[in-house]
Amino acid sequence: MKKYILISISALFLIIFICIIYAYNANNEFSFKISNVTFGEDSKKNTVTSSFNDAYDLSASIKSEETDLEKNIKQLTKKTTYLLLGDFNNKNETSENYYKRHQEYLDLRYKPDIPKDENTFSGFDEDSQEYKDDIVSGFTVPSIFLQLNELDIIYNSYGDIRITQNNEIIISSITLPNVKMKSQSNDNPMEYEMIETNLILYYYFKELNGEYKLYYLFGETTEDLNDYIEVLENNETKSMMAIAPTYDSNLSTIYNYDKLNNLTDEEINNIYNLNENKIVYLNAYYNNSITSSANGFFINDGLIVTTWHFLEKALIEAQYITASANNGNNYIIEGIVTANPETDVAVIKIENPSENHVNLGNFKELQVEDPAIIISSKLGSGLTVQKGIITSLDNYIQTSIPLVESDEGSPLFDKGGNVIGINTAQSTNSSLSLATNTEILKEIQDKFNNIEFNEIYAISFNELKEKYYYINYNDETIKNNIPKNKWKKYSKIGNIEQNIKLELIKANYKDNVVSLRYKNEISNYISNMQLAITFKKQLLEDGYKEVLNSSTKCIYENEEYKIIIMDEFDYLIIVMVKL
Amino acid sequence: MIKKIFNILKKYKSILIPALIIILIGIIVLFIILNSINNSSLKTVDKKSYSFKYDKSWKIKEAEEDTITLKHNSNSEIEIQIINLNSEYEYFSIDELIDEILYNIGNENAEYKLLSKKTDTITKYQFKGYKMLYENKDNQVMVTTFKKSDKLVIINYKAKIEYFDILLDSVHNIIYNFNLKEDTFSLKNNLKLNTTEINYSKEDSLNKVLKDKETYEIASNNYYVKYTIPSNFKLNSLTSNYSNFTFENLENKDITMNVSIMSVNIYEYLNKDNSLNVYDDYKSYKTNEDYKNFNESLSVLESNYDSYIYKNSYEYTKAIKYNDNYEMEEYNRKDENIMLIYALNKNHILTIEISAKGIGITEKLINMIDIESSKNYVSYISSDKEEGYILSSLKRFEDYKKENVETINIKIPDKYTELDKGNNIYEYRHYGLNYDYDMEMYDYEINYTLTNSNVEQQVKNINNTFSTTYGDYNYLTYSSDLTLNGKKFKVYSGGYTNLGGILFTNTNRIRYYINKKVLFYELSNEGYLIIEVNGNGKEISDEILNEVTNFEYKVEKY
Repeated sequence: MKKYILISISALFLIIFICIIYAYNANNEFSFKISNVTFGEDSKKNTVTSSFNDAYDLSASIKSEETDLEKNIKQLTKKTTYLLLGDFNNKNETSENYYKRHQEYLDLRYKPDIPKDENTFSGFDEDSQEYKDDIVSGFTVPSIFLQLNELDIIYNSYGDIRITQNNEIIISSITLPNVKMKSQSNDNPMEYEMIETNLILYYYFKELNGEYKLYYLFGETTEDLNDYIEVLENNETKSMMAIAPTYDSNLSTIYNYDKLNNLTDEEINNIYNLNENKIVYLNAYYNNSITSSANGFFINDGLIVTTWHFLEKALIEAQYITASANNGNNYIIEGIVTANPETDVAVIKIENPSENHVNLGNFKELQVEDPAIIISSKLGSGLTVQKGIITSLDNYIQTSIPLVESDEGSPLFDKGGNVIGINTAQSTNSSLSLATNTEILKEIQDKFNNIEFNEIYAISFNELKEKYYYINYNDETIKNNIPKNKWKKYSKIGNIEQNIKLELIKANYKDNVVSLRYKNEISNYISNMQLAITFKKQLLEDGYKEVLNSSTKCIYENEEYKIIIMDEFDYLIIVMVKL
Repeated sequence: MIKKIFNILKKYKSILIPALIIILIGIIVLFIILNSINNSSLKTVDKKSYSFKYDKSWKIKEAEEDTITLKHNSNSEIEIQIINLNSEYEYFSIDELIDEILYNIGNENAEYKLLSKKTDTITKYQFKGYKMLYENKDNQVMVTTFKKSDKLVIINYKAKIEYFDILLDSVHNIIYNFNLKEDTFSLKNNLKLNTTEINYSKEDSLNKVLKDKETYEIASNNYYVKYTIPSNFKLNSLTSNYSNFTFENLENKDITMNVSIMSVNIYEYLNKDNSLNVYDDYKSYKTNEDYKNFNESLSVLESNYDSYIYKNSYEYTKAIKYNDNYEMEEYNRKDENIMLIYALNKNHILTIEISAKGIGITEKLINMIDIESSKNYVSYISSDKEEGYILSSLKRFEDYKKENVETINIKIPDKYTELDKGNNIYEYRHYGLNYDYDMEMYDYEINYTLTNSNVEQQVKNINNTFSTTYGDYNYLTYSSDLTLNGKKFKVYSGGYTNLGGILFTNTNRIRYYINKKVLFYELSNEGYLIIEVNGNGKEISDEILNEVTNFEYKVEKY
């Protein structure tokens, strides 16, 4: 009998051993692959948009086609920016690469062939345009490079690029949002400090032998621009920012506010009264907490237009969205009708059609310096009216009205109270707003005017979310993944059950390591690490040593355990390792 | 009882021993597994285009130049792809590419759902990038992507749901340490930068007199450098942005040293095609028959900074000496020039130029030269503020012995603005008063300078700067002796018409008359403090003269 017991025990160990070996040697390939990343094909259409009815497709004819020249100049603008400032996040550039970049940048310079004249001191015809052009580009192009590189500018992304042509010169401006650069410290004039600002660079390109070359450039920071706008609004002198152009430029920051000054309070009140209830405030919720907000407005009866940016964020983070108007009306959302990520618009259908929608204006009749009005709800209660002027008309409408994040999706009105654009997410938190132009709104209105409201197909928020973004939390008790006797021990660490108040969405135990993942529903407002403060404090009180304390990761250790606290996505992840 | 147990063990030893061995192996395997999960010592992979560190719980499955795969015991995997973007996308930002990356991932992995997407800074070099979290019923995948010039990096961490969080810390460490190297730029090919060994002179007479080292400071072009040189070199004058030394006690021979900071990239300075380069000063020597056997060479200099040493040598056939009859005669003199070039950063260099006439420069002398510290700064002006005044000072040595230093402590009302802050200025201060936005200039500008030369020479120098082509002009003439703030000044007055605005543009090309008053204050040991007051289209009032002459002069031990 004993013999059999021993044989059984031995066999059991053998099986366990084989299982362990198998488990660690099994070569289960993951099905997830990224094998073919290609760019430039018709791939900007997000997978999620394929859920919508094909007939509602907005991808065609929204933006006016860029000409080859515009494409080239945009490419040249980016290349010039790269050669001028270095690559994104260019912190530790080597001397060799700076040399290479500088040489390539100097090759961009407009260097005309100057007619010779032996009678002059220089040996060139000093009255010729080429001679003057060579002096302008020969002075500004190299010197601005040196000045900007002295500031160690660090930029992370491109903002808006605008192109205007003025006779033989093409002027391209590029906004670099939130750049970091050196500035003189207030405390010690000898020391640098890094400041954060927006930088706008203006490049003047001139054609030479069939190629556009850099003729002139200058830059300004947002502070300058804000100061300048303030100077204009106070009707002070207008020459402050006029930096050397010998050309009249549409891009010049010198705007005339006369048309805005002629806009009366009565006209603004009329626009407000007429549209007050056509504007809705959209909130995205997760477990009754707001995760993000935006504006929208009725473009057709029962159809709200807002930004795709807001909707995508809501699909990832939230469980549902709500819509409410200034008159207290709350609308039940049936679903999403269509969206176009490229132009940042989405159309939402409510359950019952409201016979109330905005009138659209005519994009072609708009002019730079025309007054523009934005009506939006900034905090979800009450509407705010802001006015300014149109500063640029392109595929987008740029106005001198500053926006905050929750302003996205709000309508931009012309003087007559007609909607001329929808404010995109692109320019929020800047001194200038950017609105998708009227043409896309016209296309939406035309498309759905011809369809009976009941026949408009909308995919529900949940269906869309489940299809692409759904987070499927198991209903089973998550902590059951950890053996009870183990959890009894580990749960004592930092009194974790008491000190972490977030919802536990995953827990695992493997080889003396416990991992816990908590969902932070309010990560937009309070960071994951802030929500672990009591837990961290408790660890210190319990004699743990702080090994690392950064904004995204903390490590504590004692002789027995190592505790790793991580901030990843919207999760607080705590890993407890028995040493 | 013990005997009974022993008998049983003996009876079943043929089964027990293998069982014990199996248990032992099992324990060892478990130990190895646990150890590998918690092992924190790091290994390094260093390839031509990238490098990273990983802990021993991961094994390298593949490490090509564009693909890396790491495998964990738990079967988790990290795949790193480096994608070369074509020229059209080279200058795109990651924000412009992310939608297409997402589309590609979504297309290929339909059964995975996107749980989260966020923008973040990736690696310790803090590239802006994106992180996406995907999930299917068994696995989680974190895709991290960022871009550096024409390279797109996609890091793809795949794990079973139960392992994902456990290994996340070690995955973070791999991503944090990932370094995408810059493309190697061949200086040799592009600059024809041929370096050879430097042949130093074996001049014992020089080596014998070399003593200890001395530290000096120099500050200009937004850099401040402390450097050491042999103490035999004596400073000729105290200028903080250009230093000139002479080697003491060399009979009939001459060694001088010039130190300066330039705002130029080191390789541009080594490039013969650049307008400013190390070879330029000696270019003509190659073709001039007065200089024979001209040789030059360049070598890498050992230093904490990227640095090079340039040397040339030649025979100067027109050197002059006195013979025994005290008559001048020409002779062949062997000269050498050495330039040490240190890259302070990518666009600043420190140069130390040593010129030796009739003597060779030894390696021992060169080895005594070094940079002690360097600092990038905004302005060397350490102005203080005190009850509505800006306090600042000018300095110079009283004489060549360098024993005393003269200091002028200026106390000017804070309605004045300090200008030219980018330069280092012991010798010069520049202030403006009332900025006129229409004219784009200050109504008044005040310059403070220290000089060793006499009043007449200085007046002549200033008069030479007057424009005579735009309208009326009046050269400086002595106007009066004035006592201001208890100090005596010689005052000269004059002025000229100037043209404002920017060359070749129509912007503010306005003519205006500059009223000029120049005040000379005599210093104790030959020399003057010059206060130059310019009224740009404005009269200079007594009040302004009073405000700008509020200073204290003192001589102290250096």
